[in-house]
Amino acid sequence: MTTITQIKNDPALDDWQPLDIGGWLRRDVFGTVWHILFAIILVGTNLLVIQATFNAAPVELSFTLAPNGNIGTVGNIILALTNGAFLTSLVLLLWIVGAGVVIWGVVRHKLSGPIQWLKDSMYTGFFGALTTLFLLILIVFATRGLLAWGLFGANFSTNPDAVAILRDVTPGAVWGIVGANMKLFAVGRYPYDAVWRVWVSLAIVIVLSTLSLFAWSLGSPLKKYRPWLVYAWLASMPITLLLLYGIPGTDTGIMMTVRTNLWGGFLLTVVIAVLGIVLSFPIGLSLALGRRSEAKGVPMLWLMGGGIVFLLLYWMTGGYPTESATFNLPIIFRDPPLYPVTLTVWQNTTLQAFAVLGVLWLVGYYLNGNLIKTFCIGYIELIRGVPLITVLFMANVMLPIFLPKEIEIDNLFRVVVGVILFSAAYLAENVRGGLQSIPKGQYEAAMAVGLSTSQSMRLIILPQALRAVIPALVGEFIGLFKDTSLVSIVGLFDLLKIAQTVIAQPDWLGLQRETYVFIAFIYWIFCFAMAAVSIRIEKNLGVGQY
Amino acid sequence: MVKELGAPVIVCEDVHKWYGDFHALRGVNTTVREGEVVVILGPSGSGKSTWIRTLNRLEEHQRGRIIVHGTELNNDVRNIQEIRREVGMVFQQFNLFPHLTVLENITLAPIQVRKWSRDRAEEEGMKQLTRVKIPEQASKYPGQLSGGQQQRVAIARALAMQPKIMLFDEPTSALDPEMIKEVLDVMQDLANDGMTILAVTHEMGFARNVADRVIFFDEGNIVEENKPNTFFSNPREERSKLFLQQILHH
Ligand SMILES: Nc1ncnc2c1ncn2[C@@H]1O[C@H](COP(=O)(O)OP(=O)(O)OP(=O)(O)O)[C@@H](O)[C@H]1O
Ligand SMILES: [Mg+2]
Repeated sequence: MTTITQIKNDPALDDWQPLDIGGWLRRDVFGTVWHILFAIILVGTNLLVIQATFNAAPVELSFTLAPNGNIGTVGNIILALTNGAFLTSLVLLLWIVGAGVVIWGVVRHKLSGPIQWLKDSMYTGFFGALTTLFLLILIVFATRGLLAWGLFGANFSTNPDAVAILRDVTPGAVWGIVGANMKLFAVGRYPYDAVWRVWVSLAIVIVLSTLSLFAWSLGSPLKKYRPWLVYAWLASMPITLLLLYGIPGTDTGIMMTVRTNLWGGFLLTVVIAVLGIVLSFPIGLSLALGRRSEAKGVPMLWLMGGGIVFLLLYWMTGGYPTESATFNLPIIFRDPPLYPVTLTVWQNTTLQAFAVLGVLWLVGYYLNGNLIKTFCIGYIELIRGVPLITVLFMANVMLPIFLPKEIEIDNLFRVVVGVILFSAAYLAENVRGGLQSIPKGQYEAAMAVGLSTSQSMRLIILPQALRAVIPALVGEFIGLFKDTSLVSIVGLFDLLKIAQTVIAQPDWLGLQRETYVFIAFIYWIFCFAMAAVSIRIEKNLGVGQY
Repeated sequence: MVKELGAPVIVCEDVHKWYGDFHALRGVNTTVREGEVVVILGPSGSGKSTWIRTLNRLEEHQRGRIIVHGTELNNDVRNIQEIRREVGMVFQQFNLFPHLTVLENITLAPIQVRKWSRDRAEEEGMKQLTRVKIPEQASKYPGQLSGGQQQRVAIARALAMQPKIMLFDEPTSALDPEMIKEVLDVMQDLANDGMTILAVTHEMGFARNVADRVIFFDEGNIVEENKPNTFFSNPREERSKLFLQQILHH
């Protein structure tokens, strides 16, 4: 019985079709043909790469390793180790040994941890093994090239004359441009006499960071000093700024003023980034809370009353138009494109009244008078709608136009304010995302046990919301750090701008590569450190644990 | 055993509530006395949750008067805060604070709202945890507990504020059958200790054995209130009969 049913249900018999040519082509012919083709291509590429690297030209050595062309002992060892034939054979040998180990393990049905890893990630099937070989050789030779340029063939002398003599016989990098300009890269044109103040600031930050790392690791004995560390951090900001700037108005002495136009390089980049991050965070937080606020609207009567009071005050304090005024309205398709409109006193007054009361009416009618929310939405969407560079130009070029001539605001200050205002809008949206992820029940439970609105925000909602968005916030901060490179466009000498001036020095002309590699490395180290700290914070807070 | 009931602690007079155009509470009138255990029954969507949540202002009522413990609920924030201090609430979904340990969940409000010292709050917290029979879980996080344990922590959290009244909104509906009993036992202990309890629940056994009164809700209003025995054996209203038939058939 069973057998009969089974045979009857056998799809091969049941769905028998005269000729499934399409399926046969797809399954058997092309399936195999493509595989074969792919295998041929992979094997072929591997052969080509192996052959090319086997015959690769030897690395060239700098004057230090080969004075006057005589290769010293160290030079000879390097030549032997970086020899194309040697490296290629070594990689091949390792690859074959690895394959052997995996096959041996599979045959004996015994895969220890490392061998299992090898099998899963390096020798996943035939194609995987071939790709491993291909990538291994590429990586090894890319590293060899980088070392040959940056180390074996490089000239490290910081003496421009010595470098110039050897320039033609130096096959690799000329790192002297970095070494000789270290001070510029670090602090820009900050005066030598005051550089110690930068060091002291740095020391403060390093000490605090180290203490914090200890205090915030799990089960630390320093746990009870955490609040003090927070206060110390808050105090460190004005202290370091004072150290860097000096006492305003003093031109001599150890605390003489160093105007911000002399700040530069890495110092400036860090100052902008840190001030931007630290100060934009509370603003972003407030914006996010404001955007979600459901403050019961200001009644229309109050809005209109406030508008009228504002208008009266404005008119009484000199804003009232005393004579007819002419405005030039820009008109498209006209030549000249300006259309003068003359408004009498009455027309002008009416226009002003309509403008103010009309805006307030819109707010009252469409947004139930929630002014806070309206402002936050308007601000966030305005800032998110323009690029940072526009905000910086606004701060730098446009702001002075609106201000009286006598008031002159520090360039760095304007740029920092621009960066803060910009990044606050993005932070606000990140934080709002976190706030939205908190279920309604949390608010209700907090209310039900009697917490006030601010207590439940501070103790229940924000700790959870911020925890949820740590990765996004750190991403924002890293972005901000890198975006500081834009300030070079508005005339600040940050790390990138310093690099450009260094390249233009007559002593070191034409050394872009070394300079840009160096500052890229600096940027990378810092962004990587931020990411690492964020991972640590997440671990300590136990994100995703509950 | 006849229970001595005290003075009225909750008075509702003609309470109305609208959600937009929807008339959710339609003139609720009732009085709850000190030490009374009231079970609220009724079909889904009849306004049980809405009513119980107006009692501590999680929902605002638009007409009528609610007086809790001598204080009238109105827009005055101080009144609301005062009433919330005296009224504990337990939710269907527990709503524990996941980023705090069990003990921190319990001590948070006493420290922040009652301004107790940490030591006193922790002592009181441990007492409440012992009362709900899980003192050994104090340093765990809510996510590490079973549903029944979480709900008992939620009860301990409400009790730590030393409330005069406890509100329960379907406290066992999100629990597996074997955990329901441990929560009901705790509620029964509370009732025996003389706590004033208002509970929305479908646990008929609890209603029969523990409640002093059953309130039957339908379409936003109280249809019938009675002693549990009378209500279950001899319901007065047609709608109550229908409702009882439906749940007893299950
Ligand atoms: N936030 C709200 N907005 C609009 N309508 C609501 C809201 N909350 C509840 N309602 C409506 O009010 C009515 C009463 O809801 P309520 O939650 O009080 O019912 P319930 O008796 O508790 O029902 P259940 O037994 O299903 O919990 C329902 O019709 C519901 O749709
Ligand atoms: Mg309900």
